Amino acid sequence: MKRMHHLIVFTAIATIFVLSSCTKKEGCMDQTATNFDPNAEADMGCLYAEGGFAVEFHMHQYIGGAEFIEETQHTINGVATNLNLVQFYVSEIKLVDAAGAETSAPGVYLLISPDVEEYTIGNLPTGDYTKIRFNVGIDSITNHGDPSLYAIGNPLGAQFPSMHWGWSFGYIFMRIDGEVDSDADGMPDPEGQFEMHLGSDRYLAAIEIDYPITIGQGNENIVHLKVDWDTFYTGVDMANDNTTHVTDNEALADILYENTFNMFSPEY
Amino acid sequence: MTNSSTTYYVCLFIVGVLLISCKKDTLILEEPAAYVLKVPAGFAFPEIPDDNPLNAAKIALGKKLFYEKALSVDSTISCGSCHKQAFAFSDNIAISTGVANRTGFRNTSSLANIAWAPEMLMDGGNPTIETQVYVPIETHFEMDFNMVLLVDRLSANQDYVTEFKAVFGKGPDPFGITRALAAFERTIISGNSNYDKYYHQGNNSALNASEINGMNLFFSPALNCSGCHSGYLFTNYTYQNNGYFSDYSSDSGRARITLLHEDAGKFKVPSLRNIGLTAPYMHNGEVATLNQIIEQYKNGGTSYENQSELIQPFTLTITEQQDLINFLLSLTDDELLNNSELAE
Repeated sequence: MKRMHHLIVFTAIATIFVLSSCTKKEGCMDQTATNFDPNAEADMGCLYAEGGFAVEFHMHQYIGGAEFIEETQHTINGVATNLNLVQFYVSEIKLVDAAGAETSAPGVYLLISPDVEEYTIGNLPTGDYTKIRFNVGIDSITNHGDPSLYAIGNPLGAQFPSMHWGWSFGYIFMRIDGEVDSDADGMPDPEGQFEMHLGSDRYLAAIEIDYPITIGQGNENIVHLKVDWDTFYTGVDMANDNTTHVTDNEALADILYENTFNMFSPEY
Repeated sequence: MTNSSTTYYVCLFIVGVLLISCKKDTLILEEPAAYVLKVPAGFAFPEIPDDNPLNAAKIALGKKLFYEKALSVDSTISCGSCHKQAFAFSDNIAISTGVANRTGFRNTSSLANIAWAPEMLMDGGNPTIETQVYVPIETHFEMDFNMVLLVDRLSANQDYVTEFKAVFGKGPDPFGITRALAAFERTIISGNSNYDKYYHQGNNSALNASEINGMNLFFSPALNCSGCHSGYLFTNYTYQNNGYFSDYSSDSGRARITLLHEDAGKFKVPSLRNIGLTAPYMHNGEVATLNQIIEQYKNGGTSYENQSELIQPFTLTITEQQDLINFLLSLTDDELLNNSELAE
């Protein structure tokens, strides 16, 4: 009977062992952790910096004074427009204290889209901060790395729709695909299809916003940012000059790039 | 059967089922035997990336993918649809046709000896064979597909799942697709032309008198063709404007990548190997014959503002010009065209 008891215990242990080893490639899938593994397919074993608090980024996107929803009709600079795909990368997020010291969330790359508002940026130390800094786009070294080295699902991995240019080998920092009204009937149409794709190292936009926040126990620990798409399209002739992949229309790319610096603001 | 023996067999059954059903996605593979590239006489051994060592199974998978039409959105074209073995893995039309009969704006480059190329594409916009794989797959006027969707499509094919697992220890993914295709492309090697037999293999009768005279003209300081088309690959892989055209506004070449005006109209110096097979010529495929190109070089080019200083006027007799062309035609490698290991 004692032997049978051992066998049952052995079976239970074997069951646990086998089931745990049947999983996909294990690793930490939280890119805010210190041991983040971009190729992990099963989430486990994340490690976080000590003494910090989980901080989130909330991106609230607006157009025409209302919440921005993809694939709905808007009027931009007087032109009926559908924005069918709007995505951009945010990286190198840093909180800055009054003395100018930066606290960063290294290795965090966020692919921002209007239908997702909340993004985790990782554990940051307790403290009083006065500014937030981040890049719209991706640093040069990562920008020219191989996306195949990241698993599908990682922001830096292959995406559908693609957020990477093979022909100039770098990520599309900001991708906007849409349609405008091309036949003056007040409705966007396929003939009015346009693409605004910004990328390449020169178009990395380093954003700085005054944003007083205290990270610590009992606090919300969330950075609320307003993304204003009306500002992004300032000065753009939506009907006649609305497509750029940078090199084919640098003038428009430059306008959009400059507007990027003004489209983010605190939302308390 | 007693209760205890029943329990005993039930326990053994559970352990057995668990072990059998444990189907890991990532297999531990035995290290496959390395594949050694057949490097021609006179060639240096090309650099092989650490993360993509060659082996026969990977090359075979890469070849299957190279000729796989499922790489295109509507499964109508493969890599081999434009990079045809009969034309030294280039095409014989000015601009190849992509899905839905779309056309881009550049002539299809030969893939022969791509293993030695330090950068990809005519403008050098992509650094490696592996990363270049994304370009045709995702370009609107080529295959117009998407890497994520391609992984899904291949993952639904049990043959591919099995083959990827055998090579990479896991099913289809961007890493495996890019590595396998690159591994196969590195085996597209061409170095057994009559010129090679004469110059690198010591066969003094491999070139005739006209071809030898043409070779001497090619390497002469007066013509200085080898100022750019140098070495055993007949290219120094620099970016030059050769002064063939006077307007590059429709394709700025290297400037498309660097955004520098001084790079406008510059393209990677192409290899001249198999040039007898790769017509039409130039970045846009607008030039039909080698004679036309030589005539333009004789004139010293168009004096386009970024034209290479190496392009200087020269003269040739009719016989000399034919000798030069005969030499260029001696760079054709029939072995490449008939290599069954590269054929579909």
